[in-house]
Amino acid sequence: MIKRVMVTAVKQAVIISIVVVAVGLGFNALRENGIPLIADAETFRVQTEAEFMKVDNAWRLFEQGSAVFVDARDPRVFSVERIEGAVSIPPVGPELENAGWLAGSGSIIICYASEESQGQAGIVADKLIDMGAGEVFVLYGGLEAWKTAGLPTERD
Amino acid sequence: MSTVVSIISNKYLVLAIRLVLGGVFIYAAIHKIIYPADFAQDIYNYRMLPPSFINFMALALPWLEVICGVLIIAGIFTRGSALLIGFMLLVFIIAISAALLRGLDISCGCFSSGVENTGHGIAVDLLIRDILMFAGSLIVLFYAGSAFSLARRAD
Repeated sequence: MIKRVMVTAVKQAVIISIVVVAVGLGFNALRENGIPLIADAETFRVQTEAEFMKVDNAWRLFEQGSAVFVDARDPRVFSVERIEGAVSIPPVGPELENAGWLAGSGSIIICYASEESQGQAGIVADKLIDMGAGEVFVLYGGLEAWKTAGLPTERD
Repeated sequence: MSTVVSIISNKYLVLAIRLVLGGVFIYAAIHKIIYPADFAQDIYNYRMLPPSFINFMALALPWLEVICGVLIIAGIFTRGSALLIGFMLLVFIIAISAALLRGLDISCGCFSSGVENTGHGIAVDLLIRDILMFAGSLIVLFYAGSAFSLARRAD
């Protein structure tokens, strides 16, 4: 009796599971704010309302001059090396409190930090969004990803 | 022993368990279907799955909950639904136990997620609740009959 019950249950479970996967993935594909099927740890470590932007897209905007890069690291580290042309706005301090000029500029804003401290970029991004900035992103992989791609940095 | 079996196989008890399990799982799924990203974050916080699998789970699990909930209430594919509900509860029991043993202070992600969570952190009472529901799913699995069922015949 147990074997018969289990065989029936397993067969039904397989059918249900197939329907579930089809419905779940289909619903996600059709909705406006669907999530990617595969994500990596960074998107969970860095909790932010801003979307992530990969280095190649960020580079395209850099070349066009249509984005402002915001470095969310400690200013001392910023002075050692940063993305070329980036401005320093750490998550704590007067720079962020007075960043209304940036939030209201209408520019595309790309926040970044070092790879292991990207949470700071998320904090700055969220604050800029609260201030009214329209297009704010967090650079996927941080400064390390930018440098690995051989893209320009500068120092004091 | 036969008294115990006759009690737990009572068609009214089985129906009550079906309604409770189905209702709980349908209710639990709604917020997670609306906010899959927040639910994915809750799954990540348990630190049990590789990140690359998390979003798939966040998309599939709520629909598994709602579809199994509807089916078990309707009495269609009852045993399959009970098996899947029991499996999910087993996974939840293991996840909550592991999180408690590791001392993780995280949101359960049971009925809400992310910033919408009602502050329902993981705790022993959640574990007990899930264990009781798991026991209920086993009862439905083995004693589901054709009574109060939309299926034309018993599973």
